[in-house]
Amino acid sequence: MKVLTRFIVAGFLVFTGLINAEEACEPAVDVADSLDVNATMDCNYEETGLNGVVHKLFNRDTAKPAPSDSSPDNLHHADQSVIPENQVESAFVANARELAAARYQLLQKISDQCSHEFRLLDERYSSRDKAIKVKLGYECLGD
Amino acid sequence: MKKVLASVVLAALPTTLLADVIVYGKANVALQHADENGDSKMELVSNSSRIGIKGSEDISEDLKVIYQFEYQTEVDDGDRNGRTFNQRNIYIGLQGKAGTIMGGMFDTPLKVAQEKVDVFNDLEGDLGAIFNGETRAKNIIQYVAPGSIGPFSASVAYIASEEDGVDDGVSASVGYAPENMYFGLAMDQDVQAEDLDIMRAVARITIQSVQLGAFYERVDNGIDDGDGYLVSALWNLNPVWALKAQYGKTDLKYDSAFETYAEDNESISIGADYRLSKSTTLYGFYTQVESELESATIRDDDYLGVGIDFKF
Repeated sequence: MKVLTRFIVAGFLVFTGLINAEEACEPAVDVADSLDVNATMDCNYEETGLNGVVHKLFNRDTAKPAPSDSSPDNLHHADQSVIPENQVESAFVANARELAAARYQLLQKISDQCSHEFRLLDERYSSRDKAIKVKLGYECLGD
Repeated sequence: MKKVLASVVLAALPTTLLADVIVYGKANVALQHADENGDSKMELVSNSSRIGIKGSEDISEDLKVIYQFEYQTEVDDGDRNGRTFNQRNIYIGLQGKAGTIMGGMFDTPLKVAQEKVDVFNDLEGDLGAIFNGETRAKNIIQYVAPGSIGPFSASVAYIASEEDGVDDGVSASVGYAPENMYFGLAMDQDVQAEDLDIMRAVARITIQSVQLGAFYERVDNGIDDGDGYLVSALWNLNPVWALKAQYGKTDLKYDSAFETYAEDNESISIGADYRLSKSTTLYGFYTQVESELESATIRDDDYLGVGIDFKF
């Protein structure tokens, strides 16, 4: 009986280990079709598809304040008052694993935008209801 | 002049007004060979292509207004029943910590309970070809339990018939969706038709690259009753290719053409998806649908098609 119990437990652990996490955010049209009014709270569609175009079309650019010291050394330090022209941000996520995955997805998105190398200029985190999102500012190099 | 003025006004709007607005849509078109009761033809069909806008606006820290306006467009021939746009799910609601109350014209909880089990959704193999209850109800008001109850979900809706002497309808569902699984139970009473009661049980599980679905329905129209079931499978071979198959059988299905219930309804579909990108999928399918009425075949249709699905 003990052997059978262990076998069942081991089988369950193997079974659950095979189950992978689903994607965090589905396309907005699928979320709308599901009528899940609780689903959109954690997804950001401001940079995707038609919605991204509409938001960019009517988005006002914020002016970049001049850096206080233009010496080369200063370029290596993150300046909170400098807002990078290019930036991407994740949805709010609830744990460390999802945060790491979200940051990786943002880096992939940046790599799609830049034909060669890129450099991060800014990395910010904000929180809401114990969830955290990351925002990365970047510039493409060698374009 | 009006278009220029509108553009200027929109450009002057503060960006915060657009912050919680999502514009979205889908274009799905298929070229298919249809053999319907012996009549063959080639046709280009638009499969529930649509455009919509949804959003929310905070009233207070714990309360916000939510809304959605979605319209179907016929990408193939420009109109349906003489209209360029036909209403799909449209609602306005209030959402707070205690849940959401919403009203409008939208899919009932029973219809929504199918979740992702129908892997040929919106195509000829859609489960709506042989199952009842696929209702987008008018004059519906619905309560949705808050998302704070974790993997559980619950909805209950009241559908006003707006006709004296005709019963109003009720639709409700409960769901449980832990990671990579979904289980749902749902019911309709006097929604699709008076005295038509429907009960559904749905299950879906995703294991690695395989999704399996099962769907059971019990129908009672006050005169006759019957069962129906559907099984589906979707296999993601790799990030680009997916294979899928679906089989369903029901005892009773309301047929609007004959204004009665067809019997021994059966649908089988096989297909493949090729993902060009996150937003664009090419697909191919074969579907066979059969129905009988008083032992005579009233539907014996085959469809073979290829199409494109683009989400924006």
